[in-house]
Amino acid sequence: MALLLSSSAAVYLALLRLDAVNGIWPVALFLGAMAALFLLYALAIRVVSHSSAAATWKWVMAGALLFRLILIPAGLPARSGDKAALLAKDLAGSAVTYERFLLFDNDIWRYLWDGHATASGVNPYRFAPADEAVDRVAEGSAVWSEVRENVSFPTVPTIYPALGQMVFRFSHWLAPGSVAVMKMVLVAFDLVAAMFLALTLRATGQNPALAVVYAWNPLVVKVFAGSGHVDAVAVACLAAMGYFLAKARPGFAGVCLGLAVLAKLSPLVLLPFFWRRAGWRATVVVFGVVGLGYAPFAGAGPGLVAGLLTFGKFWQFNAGPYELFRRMGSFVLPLHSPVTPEVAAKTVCGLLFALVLWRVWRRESPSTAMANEVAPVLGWLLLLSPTAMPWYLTWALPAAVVARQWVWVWWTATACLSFLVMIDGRERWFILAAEYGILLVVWWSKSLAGKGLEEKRRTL
Amino acid sequence: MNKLAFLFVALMIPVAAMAQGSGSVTPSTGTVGPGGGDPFEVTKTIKLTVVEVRANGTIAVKDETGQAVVVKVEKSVSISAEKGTELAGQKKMKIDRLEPGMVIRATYRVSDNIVVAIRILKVKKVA
Repeated sequence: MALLLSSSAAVYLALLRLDAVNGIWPVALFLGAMAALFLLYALAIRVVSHSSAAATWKWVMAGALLFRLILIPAGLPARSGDKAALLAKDLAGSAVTYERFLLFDNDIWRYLWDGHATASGVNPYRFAPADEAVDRVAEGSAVWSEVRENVSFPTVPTIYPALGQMVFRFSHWLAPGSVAVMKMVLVAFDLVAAMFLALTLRATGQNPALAVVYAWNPLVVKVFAGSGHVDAVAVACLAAMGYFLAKARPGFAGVCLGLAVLAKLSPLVLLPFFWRRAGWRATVVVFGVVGLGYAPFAGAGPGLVAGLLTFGKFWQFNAGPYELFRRMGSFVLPLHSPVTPEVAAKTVCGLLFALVLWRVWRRESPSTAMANEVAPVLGWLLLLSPTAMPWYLTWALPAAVVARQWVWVWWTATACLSFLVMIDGRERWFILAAEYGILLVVWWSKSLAGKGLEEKRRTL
Repeated sequence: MNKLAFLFVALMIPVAAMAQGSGSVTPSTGTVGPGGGDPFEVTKTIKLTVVEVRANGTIAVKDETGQAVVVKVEKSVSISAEKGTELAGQKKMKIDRLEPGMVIRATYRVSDNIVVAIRILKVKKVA
């Protein structure tokens, strides 16, 4: 484990020196590093699987912490000789020292802006960053006018739910305008997710060191410590929910699911499954938490969903089955059909997802761990979605480890191919085919292996 | 009751599809960052001093080390000015509004080094 830890750390350090810009070479070097990290990660999982928890546990936690610490400065100019000075300026909030793109992602500027807007008494659901009404929030400050300019889609109001907003505000309270502090806050949630995963594994009689599958996952480390995505908050809340359900504490689990919904609305799809396990009282708790969370922002009225509606209508990235159905629709549907290929594809994917939910509902029962429902429901939601950003794949990961549904872990590796879009801004069909094709092969081989085991068991 | 639960889930699907929020990459909206460029396009910023504005869509500038260079500016460049500068509050400015001596923050595309956004900065007076 020591060798795997130090080798991985060396690759993460090398990533810090990568100037992540458009072009074949930067993207190829990035993917090469990620491939090496995934190889080391696979070996680490193998070692952990064949050792006692006592022998590997400390290494797992040490690696989890070290890899994240290394990537916190990712996004500072790669060729800068004095990164410590740049980091100090960032922490002091005296200058914007991080590049606009942090390892090919730039969502963090929106988080900083939302936190600043809330701190200035502006409701971020009501006013988009580019809105003239919020000029006063940026004017007179070089840092905030630069942060504002770095926000992507500045004419769209925020889409991040209430808990996300509170986290942004908290980070702003700690260090206004600091990218590093925002990343550290999000990484803290990410580590909480790893901790709850380990506790859940222990509570369900499994090896807690298997938390390595989440804690050392290179995509997880890259998207949270490297790029700073708010999804870490939802992942932590979902992992906590799994733990409290395993310990038969439905009330706490309800609070956690409510917080997860406040961090990312997607866990709402888990509600019927949660109700079946935890009962109506705990389900009422979920609604209560969500209601309380949104209360401070209620003044925005319809603005609460304005950004989300724009997102739902226009966004598409790294889509698998959805893109297939959309392309088929554009061949099959007449030119002036009132149903666009996009609407047709969304309808087909929606129906398929309903089928998945029905199957999971029938297959699982409250006597098994809820992870058996969380992993496939969130996994398939993404699989059939028009937008499958690589960092979304982290949602299902802790549950996938508890339920031992490795196909979702594999997807975190194949999804790295989606970064090839950064070569020239073009998404290519054969890359999508490779990403989802590999996943299909893995899924097929795993299900065949599962059937083989079942037959062996019957024969014995 | 089970059927009701399923109906609820089915109704949640569109909400969930819309709730995955993130703004870093999309091929389908036209509302993006500096210069309205492609969301996949990596841009960087640099502080410069204008030396000369030329007619061919280029400007001669000096960087913070004093090194002089000529940079190309995109036709659809977005120019804004900080509060407290002469051009503050003006909209839809062209590069001919730039003047020698102005300190600017230029956002440029890394792929071709073309400037896509300019912010005219207020120069702090040294006491």
